[in-house]
Amino acid sequence: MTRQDIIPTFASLLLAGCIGYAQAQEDTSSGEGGGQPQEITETQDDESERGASGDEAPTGQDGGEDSAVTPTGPGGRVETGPAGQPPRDDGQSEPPRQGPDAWMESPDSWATFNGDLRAQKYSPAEQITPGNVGELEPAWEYHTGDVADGSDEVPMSVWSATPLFVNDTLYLGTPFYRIIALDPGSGEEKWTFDPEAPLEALTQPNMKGRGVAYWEADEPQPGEACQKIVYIGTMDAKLYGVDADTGAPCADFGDDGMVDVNQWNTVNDKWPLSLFQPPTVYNDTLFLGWAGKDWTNAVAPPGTVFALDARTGERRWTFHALPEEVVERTGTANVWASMSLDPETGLLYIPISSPSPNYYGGERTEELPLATSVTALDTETGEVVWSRQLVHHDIWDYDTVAPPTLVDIQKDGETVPALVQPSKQGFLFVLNRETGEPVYPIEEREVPASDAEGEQASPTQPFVDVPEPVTPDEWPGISKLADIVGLGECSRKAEGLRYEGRFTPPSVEGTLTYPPTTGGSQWGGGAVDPETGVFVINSNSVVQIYRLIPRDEYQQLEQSGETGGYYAQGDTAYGFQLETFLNWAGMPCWKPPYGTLAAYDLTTGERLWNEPFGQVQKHGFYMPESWGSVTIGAPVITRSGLIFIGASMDSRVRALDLKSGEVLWKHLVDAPAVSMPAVYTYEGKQYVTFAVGGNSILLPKVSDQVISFALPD
Amino acid sequence: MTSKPQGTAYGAWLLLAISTIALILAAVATFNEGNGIAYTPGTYLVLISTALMLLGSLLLALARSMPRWLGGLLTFLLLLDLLGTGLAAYLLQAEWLLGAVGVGLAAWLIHVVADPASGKRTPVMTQRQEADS
Repeated sequence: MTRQDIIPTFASLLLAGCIGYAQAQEDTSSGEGGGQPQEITETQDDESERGASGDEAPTGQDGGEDSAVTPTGPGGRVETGPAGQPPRDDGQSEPPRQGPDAWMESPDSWATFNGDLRAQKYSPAEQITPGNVGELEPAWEYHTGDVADGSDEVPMSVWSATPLFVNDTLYLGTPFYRIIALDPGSGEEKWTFDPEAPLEALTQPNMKGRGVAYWEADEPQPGEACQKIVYIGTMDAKLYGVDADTGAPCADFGDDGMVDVNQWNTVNDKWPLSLFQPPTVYNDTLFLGWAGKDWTNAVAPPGTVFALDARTGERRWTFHALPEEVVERTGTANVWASMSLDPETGLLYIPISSPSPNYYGGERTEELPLATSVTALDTETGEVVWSRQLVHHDIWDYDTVAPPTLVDIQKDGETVPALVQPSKQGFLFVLNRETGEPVYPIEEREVPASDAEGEQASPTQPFVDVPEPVTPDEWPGISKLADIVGLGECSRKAEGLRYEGRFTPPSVEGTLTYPPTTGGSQWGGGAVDPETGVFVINSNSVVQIYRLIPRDEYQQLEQSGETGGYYAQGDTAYGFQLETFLNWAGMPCWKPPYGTLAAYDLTTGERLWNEPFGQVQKHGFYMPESWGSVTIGAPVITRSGLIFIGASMDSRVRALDLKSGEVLWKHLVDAPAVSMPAVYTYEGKQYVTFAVGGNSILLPKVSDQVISFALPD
Repeated sequence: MTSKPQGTAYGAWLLLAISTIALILAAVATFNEGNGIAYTPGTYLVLISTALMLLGSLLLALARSMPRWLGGLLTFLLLLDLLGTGLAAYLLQAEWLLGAVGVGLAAWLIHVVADPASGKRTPVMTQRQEADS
């Protein structure tokens, strides 16, 4: 045992004494944990916001509106609404209106969820530099009051909202679906809007929200209401639009300020189309995906994206990701993460999730080319311009999880209009965003066959070697420390599991899966410095066990009351058990680090650095920094060469040097800051503002804190 | 035969003072919300361990006539308590508590090296010592 092992060993022994308490704590606090006994217990939370079943036949109807359905792309359909333009008959998509909306291009603002439509998460602000970031201090703090720890009737809150700074106001959407407008320099409240949404876990087990979206007319009429609108969606599929200056509902938007998106939930509609992710706004149009409920049912609402008129909420078009003929046996393939958009070409890039049921595809063996893909849509018509499937016949719940980051890269003396698509499986797909063709090679490689009856796993899957994947090709191996503490439990457990590298199919004996549904990368995606082409992304290194349970055995388990970690997957041939690979003491059986932050040079594909990021915190104890932390959230880059990020378990927000990955500043906040920060300049002063909400996947610790940092005057 | 300890046990009294401070610091760590560790099992653990440390050092300082073997055992258990609390404080990143434990270790050392012997000696020991003298 080395000297470095001594502290962790003592720590483990100390921690072991606390396990009983912790177990009880987690069982009650993380509703989606499914009985998984440890911090790295992602289940049907953010990365699985999708759906379940139903049996209505697909109709193509649209809440009574006149509509026309047109096939588009490989297996997709576009339904044109009353406010939309039908796609051209010849299948050739015309370039939509070009040019960004002026209001979102201000270098001082943070006007969208990802900072800008290109999902670059980049601020040109330069006041805070690597040299002075150590002086950063809280400028103001605000508490929304919208927080729940799950101890009463309201489910636990999970708040991942990016604050928006635009219209000289900081806008926040809470996990209780209120909108709050603050003074960006002082945190003083300007107004609030409360839709009085039901605080019930209708789809996800937690009260969840990722904030608001903003729209502004090209030429706002002075004195006229709703020339600027803030939008928020709710878990019960209502989209509200309120005046950005007063918070009053916009009478012309939908029905007195509310559009019921569930009116378009007409197929397999077992639950509402939850609107956690704020819409993407461009060219007076809102682009809206939705989230649902995972792993419970086999047949679910099929994935759709809606385009709505930003002023009226009228539907322009609906994009369907699944062919009509399969929706009686499957569903989802929806877009629950944020999207990106090239304002110069008007192409919308959507990360499409996996189809249901997630871990057994024996009843959906057809090719579903748009499922688990990144797909480019024409913003005016909803037509597919190109699509690239990232996992064939997905049986790992590898949703395309984050918005692709759009950036022009210099390669071989040419400017390539590129996008970088992160993935749960750990690959970074760098594609030409106009054609979908790879900038760095994507290779179809043979992968293991499934031994589950009826399953037809794809014989090949796409692999990327450059840029180097965020997680290694092979799983990290058994942690000696965890194995010693577990008296060999980890080794014994691993011996009985199937593992043949990436894309080993789920199996009855249990498959060791790396990376699993937790990722790899998560919904935050990465950030890029468009001037240098350096791309930064946080990622997780987690090992889980996927086990298929034959239906009769599953029913016996159900009857015996066994529910922890088991999921029905409807009435398919197999139920499913998801288990994080831990020993009896709750220690990960695999070697650390558990989370890293990495930087890549997109012009060469080279990884510049890859450092353990954050610290695991368990029962209050901080584990060694070299172990890193599982993260949820995303980085932001500033022109001055800084990375700002929360995301880690240890409830710290940090600033790092973009060149080296060195942590230059950190500050304790009330819970894990699982949202990306907003970086903006107001009255000549640069602010970095975090919404600190927590996420039960990381810790059973929640908050309603909004904290803004700035340099001292 | 009873041996009355002579002189003041400065180490034990110092340890008592440090234990009191450590208990207060542990209580602050446990109940002061916003420190990142409040109300966690780790802070409850140090709260208990510092309370035990206080109890042990009280006995050490005040119950000077306890049997020597018991005094030795108590001193050994206090060392374990100090080391365990120190490690926990390190992992909790509770710097002030860690500092207090560091001073407590110095006090423990003073007690072992410099404090006058306490308690009853066993007859065998007494006879041997008498023979030596």
